[in-house]
Amino acid sequence: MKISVILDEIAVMADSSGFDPISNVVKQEWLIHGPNPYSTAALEEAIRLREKYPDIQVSAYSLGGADAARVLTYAMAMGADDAFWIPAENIKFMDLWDRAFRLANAIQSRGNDLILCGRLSADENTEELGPFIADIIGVPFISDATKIDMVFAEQKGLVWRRLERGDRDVYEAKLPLLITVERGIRSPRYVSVRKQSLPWRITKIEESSSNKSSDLNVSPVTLIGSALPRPKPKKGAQIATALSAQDRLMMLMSGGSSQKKEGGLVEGKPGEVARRISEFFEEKGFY
Amino acid sequence: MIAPGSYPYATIVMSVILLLGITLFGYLIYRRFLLLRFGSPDPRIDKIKERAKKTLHFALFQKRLPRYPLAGFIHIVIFSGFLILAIRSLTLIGQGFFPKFSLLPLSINFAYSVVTDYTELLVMAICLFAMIRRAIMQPARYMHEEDKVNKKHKAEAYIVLALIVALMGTDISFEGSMIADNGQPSLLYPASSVASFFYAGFSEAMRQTIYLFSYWSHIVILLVFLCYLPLSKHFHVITAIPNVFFSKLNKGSIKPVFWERGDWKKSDNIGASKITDFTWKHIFDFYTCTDCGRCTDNCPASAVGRLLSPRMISIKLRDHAYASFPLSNPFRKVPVKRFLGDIIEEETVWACTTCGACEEECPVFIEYIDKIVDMRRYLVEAAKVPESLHKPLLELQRKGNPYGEMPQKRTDWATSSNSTAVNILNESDQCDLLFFVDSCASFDPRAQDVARSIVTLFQKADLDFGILGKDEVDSGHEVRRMGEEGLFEQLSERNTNAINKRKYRRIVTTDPHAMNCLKNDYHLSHPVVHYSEVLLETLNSGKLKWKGSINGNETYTFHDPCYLGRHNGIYDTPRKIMRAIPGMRMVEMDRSKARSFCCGGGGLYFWHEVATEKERMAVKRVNMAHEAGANVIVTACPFCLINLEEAIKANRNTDQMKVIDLIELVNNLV
Repeated sequence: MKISVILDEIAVMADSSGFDPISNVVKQEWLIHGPNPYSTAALEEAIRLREKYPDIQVSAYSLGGADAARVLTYAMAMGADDAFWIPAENIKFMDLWDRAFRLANAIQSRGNDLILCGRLSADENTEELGPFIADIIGVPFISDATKIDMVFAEQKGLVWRRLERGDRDVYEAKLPLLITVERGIRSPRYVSVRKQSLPWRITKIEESSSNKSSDLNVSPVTLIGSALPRPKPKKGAQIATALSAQDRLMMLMSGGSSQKKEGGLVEGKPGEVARRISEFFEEKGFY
Repeated sequence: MIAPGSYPYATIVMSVILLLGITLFGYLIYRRFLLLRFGSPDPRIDKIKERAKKTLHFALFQKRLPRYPLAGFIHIVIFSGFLILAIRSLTLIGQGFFPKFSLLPLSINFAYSVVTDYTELLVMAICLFAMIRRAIMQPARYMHEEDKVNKKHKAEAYIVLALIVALMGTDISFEGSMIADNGQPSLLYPASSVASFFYAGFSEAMRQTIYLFSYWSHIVILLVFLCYLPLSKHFHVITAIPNVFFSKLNKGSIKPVFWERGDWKKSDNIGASKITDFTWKHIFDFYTCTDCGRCTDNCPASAVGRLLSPRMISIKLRDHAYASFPLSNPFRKVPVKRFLGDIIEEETVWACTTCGACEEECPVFIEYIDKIVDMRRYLVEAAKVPESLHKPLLELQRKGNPYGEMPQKRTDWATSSNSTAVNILNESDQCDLLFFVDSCASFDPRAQDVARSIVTLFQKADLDFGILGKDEVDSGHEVRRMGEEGLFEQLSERNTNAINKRKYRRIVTTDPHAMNCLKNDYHLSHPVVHYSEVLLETLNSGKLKWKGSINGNETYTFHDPCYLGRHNGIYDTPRKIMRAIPGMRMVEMDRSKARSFCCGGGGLYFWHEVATEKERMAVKRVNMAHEAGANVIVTACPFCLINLEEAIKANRNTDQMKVIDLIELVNNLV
């Protein structure tokens, strides 16, 4: 039994002060790199399945440059059995269809029963890679899974799928299958710094000349340009009036609207806190 | 009367008893020694002078025992009795071979026999009282919840006390039958004289039988007692003195992963999950534990109902060690069974705040923190870290602080207000005091106030100081104590590099945790001090003058932070500062100084949620201050400050109480 997990690395910024106010682009030194939390959630799910059914082999795949190698090291440290690196330069300028093709090729040639990947990549937020790969390989897919319960002997299992407002869909699905995993209920295991520093074996996959994805010209999309992510403004009801008119103008022009949230944290003794919250509701006309 | 040694068979019988007893004893000791050899190495023979001094103070003079006055008194009586009566027992053994044998010169023999008689009487009475105390008075620390499942060890205490009573009794009976035969009862020998009254009516032959029976039973009980020691918790009679001698000298530090040289990261066997993963000294600690329960009695985690009892760690692991390396085992068979998760639960390992109350209390210096950290190291490598700690640890890996704040914002507390313009040192800059802020005071809004108070006060005192700025990362104090050694190495390396690139005379910290870490875990060339020490110096030098005084209605108390007090011995400095404040009215809590009660822990313990807990430690601590009659708790650690403040908010009884950091208190008044 083989489970393939697709992982990627993301760059995130914790707050909105690290961008260039003129060009609006995030400053490189403010970016923190790390494995995509959705990817690690998928790998965690795979490892938990292996803990339940010991004859499973978990393989990790990643496409990209040095970042892919880093995330595969992390995957090995987390407990993957083997790791396959599909080298590609400038992955940020490669469209998703192209990426999906390269990954699908690598996974397909190694055989698999279950493919897991993160629901989305926390920096690009496309949610497309998994479905694309499923389409290329020709297997069904279930997105946004919060819980996976597979019975490998019967080649089927139950998958819980997230809907809105806490509702869940439960599907019975047959293998082979691709599932995109939602993060949330299970926190991926903590990987010690020592384990990350060990020399893990990562297999590099060179593209064979017969099925080079670039020759296939499969992508229906042409990429014209790409930019680094912008900081997301916090949505609120009221524009902060503490700023000068010029600053407010700058902010509007740059597309941001850093706003002060109405209200604040209510602190104090439990009784007093309750009283103030009820006053707040009354004031706002909730009852 | 015919002396036992005068019988022709005496030499043979005595030889057989001695041979059997000593051979068995030797075998048992050898087995125990073998298990120690399976433990990992641990260098403990440096600084002989300091160790000898410690042994003299704490093993021979038993300085820690009177911390529990009654039990301490009982123990000291029995211990001195042992020392005095050892000569008597050896003399008795010698008399089995030569009837006139005497170890002491004849001139003091008489005086010694008087002392012996009184000692025996006293020891016997004390042992009987100790049994009554255990059975009827039932001190709380013997009644711990886990005792209900550990009945076996309760019996051990009675067996040993009974053996001691029997030893005393047989010797008294031996002497008594002699007095009944041809001596005069006298107040010089009260015990034997009383015994002689009982025997006075007996026939001569009967007295001779009692005389012989008392003698031989004394010898047999003596050897049974000797052999029983390595089989029970009373092994401490033999191991306590060496255990104190080999005890850890540098308090506050944490043992490295391995004491051997070489890269620990390459090993597959990190931390402790099997008995042989411990160092030989740690296994020796298990041998030495006497099950007195002082550690658990003082353990704050135990007091709030967490699944931790330091005493049970020792007891359970000793039982496990003996069971996995039984006496009948082949000599070379190494025990391999894992105890973690089975005998010691994972939750137990994470319940400790490393406050050190157990180690401070233990009369024989058993180490707990190093063992717990070693067990955590194993769990970290086995990816079994509690979920509540994942996030802060990952943030530390990526951003160098557990708060998840960007490293660029580390100096925001200092640059946000104009009144506190802090000198941010560039590489190769110079200053007198290097202020190591650490993550808490850099990012936590309440602790930032403390950092700002330090800055304003240092500026008032005209001190030359600076901070590392963005080059500083978390000190890694709790990271190391949580068992994540690799991350600690990364953090400490970055800090050490940043510190070594600046020129300074001393490092000063807000936080006792950071001070302890920089002082004991890092290897820096210059001293590290807590701000309270600098503060006392400046006050003494007269650079600061009191401008205000305290409102007369308030009573203050000082809460000793664990890593300032117990781990680094700074108890009096903050108290001297407080007493110097005009109008100060101060009370001490019941548990203060070395017995201070942990607030619940700082650093990563902020994030760590323990599954089983009846009450918050901080709430308990605030109640203690309330009971002592204080309205204001002063502390000198940002973590204590935050924990206690939160506790006051959540507690109805302590509405009117306040918590303030020492530096804030002083800063408001100068």
